[in-house]
Amino acid sequence: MPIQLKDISYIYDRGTPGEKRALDHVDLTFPDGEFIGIIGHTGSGKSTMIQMLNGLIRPTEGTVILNGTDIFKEPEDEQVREYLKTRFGEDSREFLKKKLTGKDRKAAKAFFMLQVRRKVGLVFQYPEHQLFEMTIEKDIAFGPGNLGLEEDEIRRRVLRSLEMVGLDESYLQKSPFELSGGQKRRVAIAGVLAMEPEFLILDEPTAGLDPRGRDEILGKMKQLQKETGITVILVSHSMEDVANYADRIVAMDNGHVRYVGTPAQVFSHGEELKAMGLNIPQVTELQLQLEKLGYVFPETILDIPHMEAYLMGEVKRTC
Amino acid sequence: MLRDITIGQYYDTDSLIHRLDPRTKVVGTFLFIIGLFLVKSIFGLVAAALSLLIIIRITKIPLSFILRGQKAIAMLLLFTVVLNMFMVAGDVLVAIGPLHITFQGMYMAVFMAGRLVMLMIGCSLMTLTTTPLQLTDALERLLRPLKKIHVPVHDIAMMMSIALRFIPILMEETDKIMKAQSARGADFESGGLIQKAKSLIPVLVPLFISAFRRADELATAMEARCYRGDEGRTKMKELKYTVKDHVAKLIMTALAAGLFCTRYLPGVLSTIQAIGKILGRG
Ligand SMILES: Nc1ncnc2c1ncn2[C@@H]1O[C@H](COP(=O)(O)OP(=O)(O)OP(=O)(O)O)[C@@H](O)[C@H]1O
Ligand SMILES: [Mg+2]
Repeated sequence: MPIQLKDISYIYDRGTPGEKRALDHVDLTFPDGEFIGIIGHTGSGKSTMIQMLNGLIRPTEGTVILNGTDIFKEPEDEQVREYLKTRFGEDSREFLKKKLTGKDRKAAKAFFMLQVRRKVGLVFQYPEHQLFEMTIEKDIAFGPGNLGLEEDEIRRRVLRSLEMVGLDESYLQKSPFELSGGQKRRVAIAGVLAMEPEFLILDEPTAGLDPRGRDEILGKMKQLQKETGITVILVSHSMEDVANYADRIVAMDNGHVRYVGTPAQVFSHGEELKAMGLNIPQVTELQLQLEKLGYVFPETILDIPHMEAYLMGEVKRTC
Repeated sequence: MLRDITIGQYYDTDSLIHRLDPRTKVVGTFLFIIGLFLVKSIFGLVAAALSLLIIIRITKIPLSFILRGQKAIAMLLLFTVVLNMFMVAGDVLVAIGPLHITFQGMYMAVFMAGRLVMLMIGCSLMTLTTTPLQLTDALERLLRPLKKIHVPVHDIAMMMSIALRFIPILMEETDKIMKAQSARGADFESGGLIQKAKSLIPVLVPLFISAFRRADELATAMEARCYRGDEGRTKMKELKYTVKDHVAKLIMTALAAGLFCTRYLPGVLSTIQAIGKILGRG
C-alpha cells in the first residue's frame, strides 16, 4: 500500500519572528515497490517531508495516509478495544471493562504509531551519531527489541541486516565507537534495516563516503528493493546517484514539489533544474550541449553506456 | 516540546532598546530589580507594573510572547502564593480545619507573586533584547575591575558565551537524536519513572558523545586561529556609550528612586489629608 501526502504544509517555529514555512501544500504519492529519488537544493524541505512519512513530525496542515489510514488520527473506540484484546487477551479485565480510559487510548495510540515506525524505516542524515550501545550487536538489536520480538528472531535480523550492509559476523561484539566513519554509517543503517520495514527512507546515506562505499551501499539498497519488493526512498544531492538507481524522481524547490517522473522526464528540464540550484547528470549535460550544436537525440540520456552507444552510432553514420 | 523553553532567547525587533549598549541594559535591569525590592506597598507594585508595560511597549515584543515564556515559573509562583496565603498570621478570612487564610496572607501572596513575575519579566526583557554574545561582552566589560584581584574575567565570559551558544545546538541535537531513536521504535512517554529514565539512555549517550566531539572540535578551531586567552587580544567592536545610553540609565535610576519613594506614599497621602482637614476647619 502506498504512502500519500495530502495537501501538506509545515511551519517551523510558528508564532516567532523566525517562523519558516518549510513545506507548502505538498501533494505526493509514494507508490509501492519503487526506488524513488528525492532531489532539491539545501533547505528545500526534503528532510522535513520524509520525517512526516513515519509520523515523527506532525504536519501543520494536511494528512499523511499509510495503507489507507491517516497516521495521526485518534484511534476509534473500536480500534482501542481491538488493541486491548490483542494486548491482554480476550477474557482479560482490561478488554471486558465497560469504559475506556484516557490511558487506554494513549497506549493504543503509541501502539499504532509503533506499527507505523515498523513499516516505515527512516535513516537520518549522519545516522552514525545515534549509536549508543556497547556492542554493535546490541545497537542493531535496539529496534527489533522495541518491537517486542523473540530473541531468536532478533538474532536472525541482526545477522541479516549486518550482512546486508556488507559487514561480517566478526563485527558483532565490537564497540561501534571504534569503527571508521563509513563503518559506523553501515552499522546505523543496519539498525533500521533490522526493523524490516516495508518503506525504507534514507536521508543522504552516502554523504562523506568514498565512491566505492557509496556504490556498495546504494547497490545493496537497490538489490533489497528488487528482491523483497520494499519501497526505497533516497534523498540525495548526487544527480548521478538518483539517475542511476531511481525509478522515479521527485524534485523539490523551496517547499514545493516541482517535478515528479522518471529520471529521463525530470532531467529533460535541464534549464529549469539549474535555475532551482540543482543540476543534471554530466552525460545529460553533454547531450544538452550537443543538442545546441544541432545533434538530435531520440531520448534523454542518463548514463555513459547509452551515450557511448549513441556517439558510436553517430560516428559510424557520418564517416 | 523543547522549543517551548524561551529562557535566554533573543527576539529581534530592532527597537530603541535593542540598539542600546548591552551594559546599559544590564545596569538598567539591575536598577529595576533593586527598585522592585525596595517597594513596600501595592502602590509601588502598580507603579512598577506600569513602567514595565511601557518598557515592553518600547521593545515592540508582543506581550503574549513574553508571558508565554513565563510558564516555567508557574510552579514556583503557585508555591509562593500558597505558602504566603496560609502561613502569614493576621485577621482570619477563611478557615479550613487547622489552616486559615488571613487578609494579611492574601495581601502578601499577591504582593510576592507580583514581585516575582515582574522580576522574571524584567530579566527576560534583558535577554530578549540582547544577544547572548552582547550580554557576555557587557558582563566582561562591567566586571573588568575584578581583574585587579586576579579574577579571570575574560575566561569566565568566554566560557559563558560558548555555553550560551551551545544551548540551542544541544537542544537541536537532542531533538534529532530523540527522533532518530523513535524511528527505531523507542518510546519516551509510557512507563513509570524508572522506565522513562531508562528510555533516555539511547538519547543521553549520543548526546554526550556529540557534546564532547563538538567541544574538542571547537577547541581545535580556536587554537588554529591562535586563540591564547585574554593576553594582547583586541576587539573588533568596542562597546561605546552614546547619549541614548546615558539618558536610559538616568531614567532607570529615577525609576528605582521613584519606586523607593512609593513606600512613603501612604504617609504622604495621609499627611495631605490631615493638612486638608486642618485647612478646611480653619
Ligand atoms: N529544526 C528546525 N527549526 C527551524 N527551522 C528549520 C528546522 N529544520 C529545518 N528548518 C528550516 O526548514 C527548511 C527546510 O529544511 P530541511 O531540513 O527540510 O531542508 P533539506 O531539503 O533537508 O536541506 P538539506 O539538503 O540541507 O538537508 C529550511 O529552510 C530550514 O531552515
Ligand atoms: Mg536534509
